[in-house]
Amino acid sequence: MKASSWTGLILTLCLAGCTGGYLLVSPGTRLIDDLKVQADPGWNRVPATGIRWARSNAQVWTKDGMSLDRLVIIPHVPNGEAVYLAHKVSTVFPAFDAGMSGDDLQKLLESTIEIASGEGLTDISSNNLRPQMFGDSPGYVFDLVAVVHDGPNYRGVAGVFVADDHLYLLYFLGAIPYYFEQHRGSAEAVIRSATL
Amino acid sequence: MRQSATPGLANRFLAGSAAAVALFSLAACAAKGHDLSQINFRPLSANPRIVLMPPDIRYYLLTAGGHPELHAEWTGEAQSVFSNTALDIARAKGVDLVVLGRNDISPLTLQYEGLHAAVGEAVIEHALGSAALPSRDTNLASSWTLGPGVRELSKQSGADYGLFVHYRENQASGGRIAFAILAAAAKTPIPTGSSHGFVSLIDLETGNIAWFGVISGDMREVEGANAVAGWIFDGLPFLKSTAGGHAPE
Repeated sequence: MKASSWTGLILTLCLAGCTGGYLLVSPGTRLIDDLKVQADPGWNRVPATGIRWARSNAQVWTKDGMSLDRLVIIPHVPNGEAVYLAHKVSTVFPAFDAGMSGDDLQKLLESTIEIASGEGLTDISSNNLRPQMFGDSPGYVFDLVAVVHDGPNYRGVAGVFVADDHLYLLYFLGAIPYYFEQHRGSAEAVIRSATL
Repeated sequence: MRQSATPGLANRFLAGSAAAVALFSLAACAAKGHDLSQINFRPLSANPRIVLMPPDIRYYLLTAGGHPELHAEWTGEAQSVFSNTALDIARAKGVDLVVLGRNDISPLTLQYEGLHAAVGEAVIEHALGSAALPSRDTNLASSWTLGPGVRELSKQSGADYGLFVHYRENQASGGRIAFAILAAAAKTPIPTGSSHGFVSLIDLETGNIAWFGVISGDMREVEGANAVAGWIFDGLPFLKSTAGGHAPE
């Protein structure tokens, strides 16, 4: 890369940083692709540049910054596709299958997050799978624990359902101590409000 | 700040480039003071007791392929040199400093060490960088906190404040340098090292950040650790001779 290209890159990065790009999520009903959720005050939408693996129709919200808490909303994943998009040939995310059980969907999310975090850098486990209705669609919620190699550990909660052979997935992770408990109620309310 | 790349593995978990972008843009846009105490700092006493948490300093060696591997010797050296230097400087300045050794670290202390790393990244990105979060007033020190659970640390140490230090440095291995030379011949520059770090003074009653600064320097050497620790103690709100800002290189 020529020096001028580096200058351009730096300016681009600076521009991205200097303009911020976080948007306030207005409280009330929010439509994300074909998924509706009820947002309470205090969420900020992360700019697309801050989400490395996300599908184009996904959104990430945070209250205190992504290093502390994040609510990931991934609507309308077609049968046979992965929850995240791989940008490198060497990265292979597991694919969603419309016939997956609740246990399978738990494992799908666990391995997706582990791969996105970098192999061996994060151990994700999930537990307490329980049924949950999302509008007319039956699904599940379950709890998450993320043990990070170099950083805080996280706890979280996920909601997932399948409708018309498409996957709808929402999960929240908050740093512990403090941030998970601080925002858990708000995040769970958004997750449980999800409906088509 | 030498490079935008960050070795903090928490950032990888966060799966976002925003922090790296913010770090880069911070260096490019706005190197400025970081004294969050100016708005609502409240001294607890004339000479409060401070506990220096085990310095969260780690050195990594970049393999030829760019993978960071922890360098245990450099890491141990830097942690030890920094702690000793900080204690010497605190004594010279009359600061009531107690040092918590890494051997005395409890699971709770480890949790707060990790949390401090994440909170510091958020401060850099959202308070010092310009990626402001519209929902909150990021200028208020009370916006940034480790939470009131830190009182437990106060009970353990008897301190009013906790001094948390987070520093990561990547250095190139011989293989990485050779690779970089080859890549440079092909006009493809690749990173051969990076460093970033920050320090926070935490009110152990509330968990709020009372003072925050970005640090840089070779902590393995007495000279580098001395410059950083000296700058920190000069910047502390109750000892103030200079405002917060970047530590000397």
